[in-house]
Amino acid sequence: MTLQAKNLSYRTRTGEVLVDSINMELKSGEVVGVLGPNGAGKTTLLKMLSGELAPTSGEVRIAGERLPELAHAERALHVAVLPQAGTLTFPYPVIDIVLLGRLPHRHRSSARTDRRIAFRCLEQVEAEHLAERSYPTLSGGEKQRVQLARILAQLESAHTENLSEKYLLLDEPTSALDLSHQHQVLESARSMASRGAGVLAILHDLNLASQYTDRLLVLHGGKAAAEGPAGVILEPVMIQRVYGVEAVINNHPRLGCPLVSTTGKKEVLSER
Amino acid sequence: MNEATLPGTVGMKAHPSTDTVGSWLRQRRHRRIITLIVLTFVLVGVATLGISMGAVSLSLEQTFAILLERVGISTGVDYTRSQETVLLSIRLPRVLLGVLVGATLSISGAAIQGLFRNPLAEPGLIGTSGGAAMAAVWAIILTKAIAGEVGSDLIRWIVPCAAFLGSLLVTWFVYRLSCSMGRVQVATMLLAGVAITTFSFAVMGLAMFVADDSQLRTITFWTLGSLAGATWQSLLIATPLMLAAVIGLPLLARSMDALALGEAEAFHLGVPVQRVRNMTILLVAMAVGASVALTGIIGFVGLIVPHILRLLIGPDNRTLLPAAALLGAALLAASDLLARTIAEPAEMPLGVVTAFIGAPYFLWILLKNRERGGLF
Repeated sequence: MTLQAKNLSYRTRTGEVLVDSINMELKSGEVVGVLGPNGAGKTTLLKMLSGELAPTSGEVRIAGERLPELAHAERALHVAVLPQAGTLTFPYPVIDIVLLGRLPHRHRSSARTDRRIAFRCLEQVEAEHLAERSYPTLSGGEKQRVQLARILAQLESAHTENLSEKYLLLDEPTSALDLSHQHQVLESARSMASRGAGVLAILHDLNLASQYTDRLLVLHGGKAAAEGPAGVILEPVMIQRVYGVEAVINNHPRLGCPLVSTTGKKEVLSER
Repeated sequence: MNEATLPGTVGMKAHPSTDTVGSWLRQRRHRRIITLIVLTFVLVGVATLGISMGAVSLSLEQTFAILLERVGISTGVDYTRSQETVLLSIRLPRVLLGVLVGATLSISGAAIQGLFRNPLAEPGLIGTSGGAAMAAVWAIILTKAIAGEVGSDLIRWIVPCAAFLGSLLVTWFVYRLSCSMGRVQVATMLLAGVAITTFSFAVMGLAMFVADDSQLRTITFWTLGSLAGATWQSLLIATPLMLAAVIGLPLLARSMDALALGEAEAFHLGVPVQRVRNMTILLVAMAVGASVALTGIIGFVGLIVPHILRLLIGPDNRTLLPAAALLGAALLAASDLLARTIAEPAEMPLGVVTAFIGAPYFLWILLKNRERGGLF
């Protein structure tokens, strides 16, 4: 079971190429990290994978079916997306936001089941104490966790713990979070993957990517600059080429995964 | 870490569980049901008062007696022929029109706010009503000019259609203008509304300039709004258009809740965003067009009513939309009662009454939100 992108490109009306012939596959049970500097085309790629943006060439398939041919509600049962900061002006309580994640299940699952799932997902992101709070009054990090709970609730099923054929696309899920919640969100992603889901996350922190992902896709100027497990592709030459910064790679003393330390173009630290 | 796990606060607040949230949700549902029931009673009460009060006085018994007589039940309460005429051919259609227009404007306001994802949108503010009035005024003048007196009968049909087209065009235009990359630019939306409303008043001014005396009186009525033109015949034409919105919009409620998160978010939740948006604009334009065609521009109802209700029962559109219809109907019926009894036997334009209540309320919303850091 895969989410498959073939030769995916996106060209704006002015002819600028944002994503250039990307081939990739998101398999059931794996966590894939998408890395790259600002403007590398990460979000555009994610929007095409989710069907929000139609590619100018190439195609996306879910379990062999072409994405645009899936009905709206059907697609929503398989693909859930955590977007970058949204805007919500109306004072919906948090539990209602999470319950909106159950919208695609509206004729398949009872109100009681929906409530139970919504609450469990809130617990999973450590936000159950916020259930009755009004969403616009939350902090940036709390909002991000509540949104994550919403899309976790979207993929849960009342009948089975198995999440194969479900795909979770996360656009910078850790951007507004403190350290402990960064780890907790990626642990949630891993636990979804261990139940069969395919998870794709746009990340900026190379060390989080190295710790929590099975594979990485590094974008640079819309093209795939590197692809493979963190232990193989995270090396100084690639980081210098893509990000333009010096990097030193060690092994994480406890986890064994690559530990990346970076310095700017000018090594200010050594001069001090 | 939440407060319940901190030492010293244990026991002060129970750790939340599915049960506590469940009972909180249940209480909220009860509150919503009670609100809907109370609003229904208020509406029936206000409508009954509206039918019995006015220049020709009628007691409540007489009112019910006349109504019951019509369905074949004799009560033995005395009333005069003129009382019966006033009630059946003047007050009843007028109150019914008020109820329908109030329900229409409020539910349209709530729906437009859902669509624009902003509590400041309102058919009057974003130009929907202005567009309708502008189109209607020119429909009157052009029909008279082209078809002459034969046109009088035609006008009854042409005016609502023109108003509908006018409001459809303007709403669609403002939406396209203020929406970029799936996000609504609120400033653009409000300013486009101001521009279009100003333009439509200028167009109506121009119409007054070329209009003859008899046309002039009809035209002034558009700008201030009034229920005085209510007849059974005009109700017959406009009712289906307005009922379509009152019945159709609540069917889109859940999709509008998802839209509140953002258009992309709603899309990912499986909502057919484009269809929901087109349906909303179509239903609102139809209903507001029809109501403007019959009563002129009545401002602020669509703004105040959903706002009050959000404070009372929250923003969930499944309850908000029907509740808005009920409260809007009651509010407009009450405002009309005030407009025609406050300076008896003279009648104040209804738009004046709603603006007197609405404009200060609008400013109050702005003030409240400024304290919380603004609406945008």
